[in-house]
Formats: sequence, structure tokens, C-alpha cells
Amino acid sequence: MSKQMTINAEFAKGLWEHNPVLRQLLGMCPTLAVTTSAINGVGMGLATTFVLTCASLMISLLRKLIPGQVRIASFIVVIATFVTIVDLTMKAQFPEMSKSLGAFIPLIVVNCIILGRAEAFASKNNPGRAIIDALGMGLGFTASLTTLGGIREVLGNGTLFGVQVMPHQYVPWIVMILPAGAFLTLGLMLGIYNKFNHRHEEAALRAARLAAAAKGV
Amino acid sequence: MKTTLHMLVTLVAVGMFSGGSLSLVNDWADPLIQANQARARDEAIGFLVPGGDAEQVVDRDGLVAWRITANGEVRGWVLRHAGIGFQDKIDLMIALDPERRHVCGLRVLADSETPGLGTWIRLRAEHERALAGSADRDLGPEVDDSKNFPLQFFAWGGGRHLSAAGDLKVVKGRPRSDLGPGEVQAITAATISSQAVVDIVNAAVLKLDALLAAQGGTL
Repeated sequence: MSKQMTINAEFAKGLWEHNPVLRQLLGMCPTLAVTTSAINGVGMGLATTFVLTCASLMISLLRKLIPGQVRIASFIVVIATFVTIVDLTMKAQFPEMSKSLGAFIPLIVVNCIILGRAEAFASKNNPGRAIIDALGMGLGFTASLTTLGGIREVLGNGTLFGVQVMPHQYVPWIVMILPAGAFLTLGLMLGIYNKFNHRHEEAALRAARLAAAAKGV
Repeated sequence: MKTTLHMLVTLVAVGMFSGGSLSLVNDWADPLIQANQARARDEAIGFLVPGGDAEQVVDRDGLVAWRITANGEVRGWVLRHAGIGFQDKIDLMIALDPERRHVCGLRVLADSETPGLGTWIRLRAEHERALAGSADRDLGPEVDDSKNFPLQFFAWGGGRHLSAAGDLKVVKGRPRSDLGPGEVQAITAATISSQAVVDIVNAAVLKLDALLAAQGGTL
């Protein structure tokens, strides 16, 4: 039971507590650049999740065979292989999305989340835990990008996933689709995330103090 | 020595795994990618000059041209040419009438223009649907909206036809009703993208004219 809980926590930490975008501030380049629409956020997030999961599994399997001196070079070759597979697959099966995400798919190779998780987690843990960690981090990244893209698309274009959601009288805020909109939205999301976490931590601290006081009485 | 050998063997093994996997995936994906590109090109030709057979007559100096014929008669021409836009390359398909006097259609195959501004160089989905379903390409009176920028390149029933003499110019701040056959209204706040499209169209028709002239007027 306790092992199951640990695995759940391992998966959930990437979704909220150690979210790669909102807490670790990793992968900021695609986060800001491709999130002009919600569907771009989903596409980029899932492509990154696939690469992260496959690379973490492979690196975890090979962790005892790769000498420390060449580990980064080996990790990068493994990551680049999976990124190229994603790039070719998207061009073959989803050409419109591939066109829309442009150079940011090949640039997943240099996304800090992937090398970061490979070095900090996959190279030190068994394949099962590496996959759970990668899936949690990847889905946390996808959720953040989709939310950011969704907010920008609704305010900047009046649509969500291409469907008109704002009244026709609504005049789109073009700035939200431009780079400035990405910075503004991300800043607001980070502020709300930190405020929520701060309140949560304060409430937990208060509860702990009350419990300690009750024990003392 | 042992460590060096271990490092070498590891790097060679990882490289072989990478090369082998990519070779397999490329064998599967390459025909699909080629087919996607061919489908996009054929679909664009069919949209720009419907109801004819396309014969590629030019593939030189970055210009690809097709002559569209039906029952032995030339129905029009489609040119493919690319140029630099605001951020990256813009890849265009341009339709000309049979005599190559007017531009009568435009389709953007690829661009990286600014979303919400420069991306108005692309036909809006509703216009694309309306044009595809209109045999005479008559959409009624031309609406003076810079978001309808590419509609200016279509032949309007009873409306103005843009010149295919390589002399198109971008103008700002004037209504479409005042514009002549050599003038294209710019997209508001995206003049560079508008200018890039006009430059690509001009370059394409001039290149085709030069190739035709060099070959005595025939292809």
C-alpha cells in the first residue's frame, strides 16, 4: 500500500508540486513561443511527454552501462533520436500541427526538462519509477502549456480549440497572441500558483501549530 | 585504457541504436511525408484553377509552374514561388489567367508570420469554402477589410483584376474601391507581410516571363 502511495506521489509531483513550468520554470522557450493556441499547447506538450518518457526509460535501462564521463553525450544522442522520431512522425501523420509548431519540435532536444529529468532522476532510478516520473512531468508540462495557450487563444482570438467561445461583438486582444501576451499570461499564472501554494502552506502550518498546542494542553 | 574502451564501446553502441532506429522510422515516414506534400500541392492547384489537368512546365531558379488545360485549351497557370516574409520563408501558389495578364488566385502553402497579424495573408476558412464552391468565383461585392487581404488576388466577377505584369504595389490607408489593377491594400499592422506576398507574386510572374521570352514564348 505504501509503495502504491509513493508511486502516486511520484506521478503527482510533476502535475503540481514540482510542475516543470510553474515551479521549476524549465522549458520556457517553447512555453512562451508556441502557446498561441490551446491545440499548439497540447501538441507540444504531448510531443515532449513522449520524448521525456522514452528517453527516461532508455536512460534508466542503460544507467549501469553508461560510464559517467560520457553520460551527457549518450543522453543527448538518445534524446535526439526520440525527438527526430517525433518530428518525422508528426510530419507524416499530423502535417498541419507539424507546420504550426515549426522549429520547436526539433528544439525539444535542448529542452532543459528532458536532460534535467534524465540526469536528476532517470539515471538514478529503476525504469518503472523513471517512466512514472517522466509521465507526471510531461503531463504537468502539457497541462501548463494547454492552459497558457487556451487563455491566450480565448482573449487573443475569441476561440478555444478553434471553436468560437466569445460573442461576435468581442474585439480580440491581439497583444495576447503576440510575445507580450505570453509573458503577461505566464506571469499571472505564476502569481496565482504561488499565491495558492502560499495559502496552502500557511494553512498547513496553522493546523500543525494547533495540533501541537492541543497536544501541549 | 579499460575506461577509454568502455567509453568508446558505449558511444558506438548508442550511436548504432540511434542510427538504426532513425533509419527504420525514416523508411516508414518518408513516403508518407512525400505523399502529404504532393497532396497539399495538388489540392492547391485544383483549388486555384479547378477542372483541368496540370502539366508541370517549369522547375528552375526556385520557380515551379504548371499549365492547366482542359479539352486542349489552356485554363490557367499556377506558379509556386517562395520568398522571405516577416520572420521566415513564405511559400506561395499563385494562379494566372490563360493569357497571363491577371493574377486570379493565391494560396499560402507555408509561412511563419505573426499570429493574428501577418497570418491574415492566408485565406480565411470561410472564404476558402466559399471560393471552392463558387464556379465563377463571384463572392459578391468586395468587402473592405484588411483581414480579407488574399481575396484581392482572386478574379472577382465584375470587379478589379490584379495585374500579372510584375508591377504590383502595396498601398496603405486607401479603400479598395479607389485602388487600381496594380495596387494591393496592405494588412493593417502587417505591411511587411503584405509587401512580402506582393514581392513574391511579382518575382514569380517576372521569372516566368523571362523564361518564356528566353524560349521564344513557348514552354
